[in-house]
Amino acid sequence: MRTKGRLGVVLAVTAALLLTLPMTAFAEIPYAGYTYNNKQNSVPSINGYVYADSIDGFESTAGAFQDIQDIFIAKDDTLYIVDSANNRIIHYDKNKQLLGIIGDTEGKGQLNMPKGVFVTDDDKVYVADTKNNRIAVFDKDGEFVREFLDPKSKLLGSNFMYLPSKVIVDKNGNMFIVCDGLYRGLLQLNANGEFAGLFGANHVEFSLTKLISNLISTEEQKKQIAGEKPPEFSNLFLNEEGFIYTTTLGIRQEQIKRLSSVGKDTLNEQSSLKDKHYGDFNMRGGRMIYEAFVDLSVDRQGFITTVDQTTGKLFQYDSLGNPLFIFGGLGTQNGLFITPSSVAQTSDGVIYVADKSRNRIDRFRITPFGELVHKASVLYVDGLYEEAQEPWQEVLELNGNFDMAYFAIGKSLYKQERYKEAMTYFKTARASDEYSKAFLEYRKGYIQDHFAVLFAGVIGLYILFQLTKMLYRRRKRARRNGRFVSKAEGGEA
Amino acid sequence: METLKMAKNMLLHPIDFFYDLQDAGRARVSRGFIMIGVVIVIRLLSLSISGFLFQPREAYMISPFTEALTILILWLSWSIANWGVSSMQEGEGKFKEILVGSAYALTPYIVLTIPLSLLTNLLSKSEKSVYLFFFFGMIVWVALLLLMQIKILHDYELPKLVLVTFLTIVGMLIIWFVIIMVYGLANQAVNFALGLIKEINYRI
Repeated sequence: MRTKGRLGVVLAVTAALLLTLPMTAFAEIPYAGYTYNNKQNSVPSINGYVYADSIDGFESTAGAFQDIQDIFIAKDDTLYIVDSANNRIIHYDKNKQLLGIIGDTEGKGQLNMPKGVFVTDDDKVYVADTKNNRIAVFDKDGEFVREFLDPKSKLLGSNFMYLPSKVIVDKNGNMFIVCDGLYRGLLQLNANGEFAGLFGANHVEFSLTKLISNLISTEEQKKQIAGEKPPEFSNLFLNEEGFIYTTTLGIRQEQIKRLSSVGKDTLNEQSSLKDKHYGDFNMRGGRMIYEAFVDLSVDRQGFITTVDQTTGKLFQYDSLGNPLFIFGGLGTQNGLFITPSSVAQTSDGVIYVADKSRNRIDRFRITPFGELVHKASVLYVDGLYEEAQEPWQEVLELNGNFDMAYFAIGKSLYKQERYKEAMTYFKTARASDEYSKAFLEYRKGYIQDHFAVLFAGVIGLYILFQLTKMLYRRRKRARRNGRFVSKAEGGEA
Repeated sequence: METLKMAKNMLLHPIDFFYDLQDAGRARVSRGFIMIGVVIVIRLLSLSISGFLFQPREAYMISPFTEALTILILWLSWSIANWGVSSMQEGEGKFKEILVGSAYALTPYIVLTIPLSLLTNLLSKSEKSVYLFFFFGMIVWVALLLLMQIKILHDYELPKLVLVTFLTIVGMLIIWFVIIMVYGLANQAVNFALGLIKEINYRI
């Protein structure tokens, strides 16, 4: 009896202890952090983002999602989920509370396979209602307001099928729409839904093989070869300054663009590389596998987070396009995806990633290392190189593989006129242009400081040279004279 | 000592050098190998002392073996191709002479590379043209010596010289192609044999 009683006590205590344990599950991060160095090799890095939790629809009365095509986070940090196969838009707040469902069961407000959503500052919800061939507008209570049908323009051609898939609305009510199958740019509609133009078209890349095959093939063969079309936009994002960021499918470089108000790319032109590449270098599968950037999100500080469906990874770049963090991947563990389809982030830096095969949204939180890099990067991008030096140095202490940091510290040292040290950092970062600049300054300073010695050295060398020349000549002359003398003597003899 | 004197002669009186080379007993293969050895050493030295802006490879990215092999293969394939082509084109030069003469023709490279590499440490990227001027000057010098060698050793006139030079380069390319092909085929054959043995091992 006594033993039984003791056992009971032990059990009770154990149970009590178990309850006090923190309830979060500790699991290893299923992806190894890495980044790219200046030689485009992948090097280990500390993860900038880790998986936090998921939203799957069962935490509220909304029920299961099906085929999440897009997510959008409005200015008030509430989340709009395009639950495409269920023909509805679900409105959540950031604590996973259901705020409303948009999409009526009948009438004008009925959606049919919507693929995109955008919410304006005055809480008007624009839905790219793809299969209904329209943009539908709802107010913040989910009431249908109006619709924008096919804009009908001769410029779009007679074969044009109006299938809007993503939409953004600028401050003046102009709509920029990604249409499925429209490769000539973003469709631009004015506030009344009238056709206003095609915006920021991609260009056909020059290809030597195409040129040669065009030269040697007959008219008939040419007809059989698929017409060369510019790559299609896959998604777009409007930031607070009014820049439109786009992602493009089917190309290997400049897949991400930041379009100015006249449709010109301003992101890649600031890069020193001619063909700026986003995503993984040396992808498994080689040349036939392309990155598929399907969505991107840009935060207030200009950090670009984009999602690649091919590798299932998220890539974060600073506002100049330098790679910072890569996370995620393909798989079924928490933190990996099957088919990631959309990315968005709240103002506190939590990243939301929708997985349309798994029908859930995963949330990622930033790590302390990520915050440190962001802090340093923001200062650096703003040109405050000296202020950025300390955080970058901390970054290097944690992760010596972060080449950006060497470069940034080099810039700071250069600004402080510590050229010799700057040269070391630029050399480590393999930034030859900057190294050359620092070297020029260092050489200038060195010559100024040691002018007397150098000058004396040059004069000394000159005198030495003249002296040897004189000696050499004298010896030669002496030898020649000697020869003459001996010859002359021989002659006499 | 004789090697050194010959190298000096090559720099100052190249025409005499090639005529002298045809004297019996002058062209010794061992001297050719000594010169190529020096070239390899100079090449490796220059790689390690050149400035970062002109030689961005890091130490671990440089393989002494590959560098040495590249120079050796270039030298041997040039000599063999030149000898082969000139034999068919009524050239008078012997293989030994070509081999040794080609090695000595690299003397300007031996003499100028180290000062040039030291110079790169004093130049910035915008002054690259200074370096390139001297570098190409050196290359042209070596090329002229090689042309002179073909002309004198084989006793050719100008049109024939051009033809033989062109054919020699084609011959070099063919040699490389054959080497690569043989390597590839041998690799396949070895892999096949190994695979076969493995397969049989599994069955037994």
